[in-house]
Amino acid sequence: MKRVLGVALGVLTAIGGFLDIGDLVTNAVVGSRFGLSLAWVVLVGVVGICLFAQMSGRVAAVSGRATFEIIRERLGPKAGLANLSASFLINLLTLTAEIGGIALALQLASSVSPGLWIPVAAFAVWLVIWRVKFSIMENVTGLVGLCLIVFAVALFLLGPDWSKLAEQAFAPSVPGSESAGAYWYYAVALFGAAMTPYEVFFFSSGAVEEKWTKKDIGQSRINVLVGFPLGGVLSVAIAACATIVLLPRGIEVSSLSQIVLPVAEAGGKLAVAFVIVGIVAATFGAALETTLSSGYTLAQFFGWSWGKFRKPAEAARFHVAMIVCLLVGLAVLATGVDPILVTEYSVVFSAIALPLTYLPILIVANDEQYMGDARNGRVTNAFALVYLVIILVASIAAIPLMILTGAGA
Amino acid sequence: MGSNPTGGTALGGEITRIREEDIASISDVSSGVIELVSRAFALQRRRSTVWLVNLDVRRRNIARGRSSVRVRGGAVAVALAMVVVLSGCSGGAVPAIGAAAVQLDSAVQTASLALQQADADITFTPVAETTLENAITEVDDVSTQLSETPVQTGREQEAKREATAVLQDAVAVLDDARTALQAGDDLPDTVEQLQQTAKQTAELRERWEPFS
Amino acid sequence: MTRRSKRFDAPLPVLEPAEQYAGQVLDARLHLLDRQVLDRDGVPVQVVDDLELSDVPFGESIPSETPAPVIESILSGPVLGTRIFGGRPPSSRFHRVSWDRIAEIGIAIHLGVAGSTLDVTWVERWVRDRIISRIPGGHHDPE
Repeated sequence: MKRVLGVALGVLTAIGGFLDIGDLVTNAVVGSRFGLSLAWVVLVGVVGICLFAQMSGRVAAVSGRATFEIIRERLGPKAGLANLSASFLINLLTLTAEIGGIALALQLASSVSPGLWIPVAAFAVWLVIWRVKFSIMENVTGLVGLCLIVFAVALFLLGPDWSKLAEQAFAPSVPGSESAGAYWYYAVALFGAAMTPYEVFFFSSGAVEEKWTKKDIGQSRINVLVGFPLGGVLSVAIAACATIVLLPRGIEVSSLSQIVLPVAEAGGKLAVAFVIVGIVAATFGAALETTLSSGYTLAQFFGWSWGKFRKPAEAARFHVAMIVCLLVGLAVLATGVDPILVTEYSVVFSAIALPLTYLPILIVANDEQYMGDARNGRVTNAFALVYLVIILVASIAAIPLMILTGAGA
Repeated sequence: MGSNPTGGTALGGEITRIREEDIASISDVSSGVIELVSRAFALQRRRSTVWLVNLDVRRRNIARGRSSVRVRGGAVAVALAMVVVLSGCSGGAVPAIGAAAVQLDSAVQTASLALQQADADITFTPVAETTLENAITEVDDVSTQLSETPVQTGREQEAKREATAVLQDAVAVLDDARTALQAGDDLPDTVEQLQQTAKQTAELRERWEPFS
Repeated sequence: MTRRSKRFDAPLPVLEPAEQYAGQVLDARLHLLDRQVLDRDGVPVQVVDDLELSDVPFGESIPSETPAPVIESILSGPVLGTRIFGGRPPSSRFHRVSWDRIAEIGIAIHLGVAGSTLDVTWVERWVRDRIISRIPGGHHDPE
């Protein structure tokens, strides 16, 4: 019974923790402009992240070392530094977007301007990282994030024409009101939102935090293979809700409040309450994860002592680095930039940086000295190579598409 | 696996002569020696080809230093040209006004839906207020965009005139809506007004939207 | 042999097989450089950024019976920058951990001493004392 509960907890946490502000915004924008014709990208992205998260978890469980430590060792300091710079900057951008997202969600709940919520949000994120135990932090934000299931519920309550939706999803085509360039730009953005780069570093460092061993690989596999796809289903539900309510009215999503409109239509105040709580939890959890990822990548590259399982006094540089990251994020948001804009850029830049973050994982997961028998099998490698090609194509196409379409305008 | 903890670990291999130019391409003396010494070992081992190619490639890069700068410079020039060409690809004021019309319509429709929901009591007041605020901000952005769009041809002027007229109506109605919502007034009239404005913006969008 | 030597700018030196040593032979690049260094209690101390060797004479012939250079210490800190971008800091700038502190070399390098006794960890101690300790709860154990 206890084991079943443990497995259930893991899966539920994975579902609830899957969505972040990038997923919320990008799926809603795509749903409101392209219908479900980009749903296939979510599928591709989810399979990809399952593949790589599973690999990075396995690496940490088998070798006891987190991915970034191994990247520097196996690929050398130059490649490690390039990887660190790209990952760190993207992380910082994502972190800024997530904190902005928390503030926007709190604005929805209270009508208080987000500028006032931003310092509160940043402080709260820091406080949790400072004091709260890792597993508690993960479980609470994951479980509360499950409130976002209300999007799937809302989808049913809206009573859509399922055959039409299915047609859009399974026979995708560029809608008449949008250009092909914009279609592919959002395909890249959606891909970047689904395959969040920080996830891989967070997952493997988290495995070390929770002291996984080979026995835990099975549990992690279930979490990833069941939890992430269900999280992906929620992503598509967000897009579908936007398609049903916003697309016919010509509403193009550009703020968090518009994402909530379909939910109100479907389920009234109760649903809205759930969705706001869910958004706060999802963005808060993602803010924690990105902040910790910044700390992990820096500490693991330079060899500092790290980990939430240590007292802050024993991992001093790790904690100071995270405080500095939060302050930088705060400073960027204090300039008054729209967090939704930051989010939209962060997902595209995530897509651009994907090859740098995923190629090392693939190399490390194949390394005999670290992994021994738990190396990638042929099937995994085959899939991973296919994905590497997809990732490279997306990364190379991102900037020309961004310029060509004016960032998807 | 262990090494001698009290003495040093000697890296064996025979070094006949260390020339400075051999190490010039490598970062510092200590790692330079490791390169040469490892090379000495590596010749005997399976990985020898990799090591030798490594060292050789480094040396050749120094000799080719200048040409690689040229190649790099060329790549930068091509990239810049691409940027210039691609960003120059959008032309004319009508598509810009069309895009503004799309944004305006989107904002007004949002406000209309939000007020309807507030009136039907299926959403919380802060949510409706926030949605309205966001819509107003977006309309302000459109207003700035529109006033900054340069127009030359007759058709462009007509488009701008129409868009500005509808925009000003929308701004007025949205302000009224915000006041009504904050004051907690009865909303049906405001909802009606917004729906009328939404029809106008939808028509504007129909006429000038970039794609048919 | 002739085909091969055409690819190189200088002729390959003639090398004889290395002496056989008892115990593990380590490759500096594969087993030492960029490895995590852990102290006696498993707490990370640094990463091996570079190695300091003894007696490397420049620009002069070395008689064939000279013993090979010996690793004196493992280095970290500013040498990372010079390792990646080139150049060499003066030896007074090296942040050293003497080789005789090392107890075991495996996936990571394990020292036989506690990290707090080493000079290289002073930044960690400074940050701890000046910044972390000033924030309430810095010594709270989260487990």
